[in-house]
Amino acid sequence: MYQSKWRTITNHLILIIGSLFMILPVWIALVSSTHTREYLFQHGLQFWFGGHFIENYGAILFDPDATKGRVTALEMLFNSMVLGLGFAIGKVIISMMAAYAIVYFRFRLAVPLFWVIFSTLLLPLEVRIVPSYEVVAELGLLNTYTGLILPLIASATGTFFFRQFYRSVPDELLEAARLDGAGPLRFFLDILVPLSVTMIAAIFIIMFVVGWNQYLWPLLMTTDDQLYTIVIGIKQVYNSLYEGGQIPQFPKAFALTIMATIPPVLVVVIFQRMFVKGLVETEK
Amino acid sequence: MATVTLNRAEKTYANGFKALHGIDLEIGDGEFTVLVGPSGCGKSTLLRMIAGLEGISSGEIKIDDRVVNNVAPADRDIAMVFQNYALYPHMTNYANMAYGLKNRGYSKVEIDTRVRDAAKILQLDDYLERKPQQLSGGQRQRVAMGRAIVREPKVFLFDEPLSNLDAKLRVDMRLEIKNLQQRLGITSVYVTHDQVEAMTLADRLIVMNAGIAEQIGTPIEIYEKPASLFVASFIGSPSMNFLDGKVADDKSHVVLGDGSKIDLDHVIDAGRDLVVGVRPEHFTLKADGSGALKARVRMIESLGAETLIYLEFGEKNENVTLRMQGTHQFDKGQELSLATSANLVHLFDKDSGKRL
Repeated sequence: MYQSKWRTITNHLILIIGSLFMILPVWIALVSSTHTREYLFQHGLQFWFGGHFIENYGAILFDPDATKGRVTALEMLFNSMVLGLGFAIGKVIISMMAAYAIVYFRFRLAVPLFWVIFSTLLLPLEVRIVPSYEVVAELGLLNTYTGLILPLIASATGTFFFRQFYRSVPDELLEAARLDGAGPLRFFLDILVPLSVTMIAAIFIIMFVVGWNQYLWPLLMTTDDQLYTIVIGIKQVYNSLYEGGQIPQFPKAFALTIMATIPPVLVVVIFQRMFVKGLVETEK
Repeated sequence: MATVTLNRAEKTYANGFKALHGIDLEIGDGEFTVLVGPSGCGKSTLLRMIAGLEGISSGEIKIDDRVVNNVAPADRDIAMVFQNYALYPHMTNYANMAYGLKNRGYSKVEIDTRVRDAAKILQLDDYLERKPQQLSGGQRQRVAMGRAIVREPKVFLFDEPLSNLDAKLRVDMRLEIKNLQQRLGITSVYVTHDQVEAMTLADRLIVMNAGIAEQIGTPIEIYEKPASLFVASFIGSPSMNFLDGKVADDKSHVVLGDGSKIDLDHVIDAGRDLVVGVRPEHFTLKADGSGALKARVRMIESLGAETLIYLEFGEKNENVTLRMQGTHQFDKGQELSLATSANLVHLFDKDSGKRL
């Protein structure tokens, strides 16, 4: 008992130190965002709240001038949300369908086609960014949500995960469904999709966060301020910190950062529950 | 109610492997047919061909005189029970049973009546709203059977449905299946590798080996008159004893390896080499030493109701098994004298393995 007690204490100590290490920067950003810029400039980073929470966050959310662009943080959050959701949902749907075709249908060149899809893993958007930009520009999709989302969806990660998952579904389920008179579409919608709920949740979480955190592609794609995502917005605010010889806008930059982190955290927290629930309840 | 007819049904896989070498079979209306054989003998392939899950390479499969070679599984009016149940895990048991009917466009009321009737027959009334993984193995298999029953198909197909259950449950379910099939009177084809299941369930038994039907007959016919060495060794537990022998010059008996004689009750060419088969339960122990065979005790297994005695016979130490009612005790190496009667002796050709 004595020994295990000490063990518990050391374990907790390590975990607490680790947590502090992780949380501290976020904490500093959060509390520093509630001071005035003059105060921060004079006294450096803060470890406790100041009295300007509403003022700073209000300005950044609703006043286009505060971000030095012509777009408010609220609009940027909306753009990021469209990108994150569009990317995650699009990816899940397309990957599921592609994997379904590859696993359950025997067609010519199925295996080579899978490897072609798979090889796109070696070519993330950053590698093919110039040709992708050309294509999107030629299609006249610059500064549109479609142009923002579509090129990002074109990669194989999801397809690969779903393929592995489908292959682990016992063949007897397909056979039972065939005997039950379910065609390919019915089998997909009635059996496979419900069985994949956990996979869908997992891939959705990952893809939403990936989409939300996209930086290079939106930066290249969007010349119109109205389409700025919040990640670009942060960059813009930091860029304009020193403009015009004014005192830097640190509190507002911090506020924007904090706001940028909230939605992905929420998505992970909410879907994690579904994820775990699905893991417990579903049995193949 | 339906018949199933197979006409020279063959199956060759894409890689050239021939799984079935032309099976001819007539399954009568309401008959319970069991396909039995070791793994890889093609019994499951045959069942899946009847179901339509495997294509047929040549020949014909007819259900009720309709050729179904190219009919989709769902349109053959059959229902199948799988070894691992193959229930849809995300659906309730009710939905599992109703799914096939729903896809066929039955009305809600009709579905409800049928599912509840089937549930009553299978004693699943209280479990309909649960999901399959909340049930025990036996209950799951009952849901799988329910899914087959509600369709009221022409033919039931069972693919080793009891293999995943523990021994006791298997016996219970075996009786239940037999009972159910007799009550509903639906033509059934049942695949198993377990010969006890095969013997107890079958109206007619088909013993398969390496893609051919070695013998077709009632369980008792097959037990009493196995058509080949393979059938003789496969049906019956413990398995039949085989001893090499030669027909004596006066054709009245067979001479075994050590010179002992076994009487014959039918005429066979003198000097012919053959294999003599005697079931372990068809030997009797002669305490006075008057038996034809002398063998030494190697090992004893007491099962309570019966005792299995493993013996060594002749110079080549051929294995012989003896099965006796009740419990018995012998010393290791003790010599026993065994007798049998001519009508219980099976004779097989040494080369072809065919019954003589």
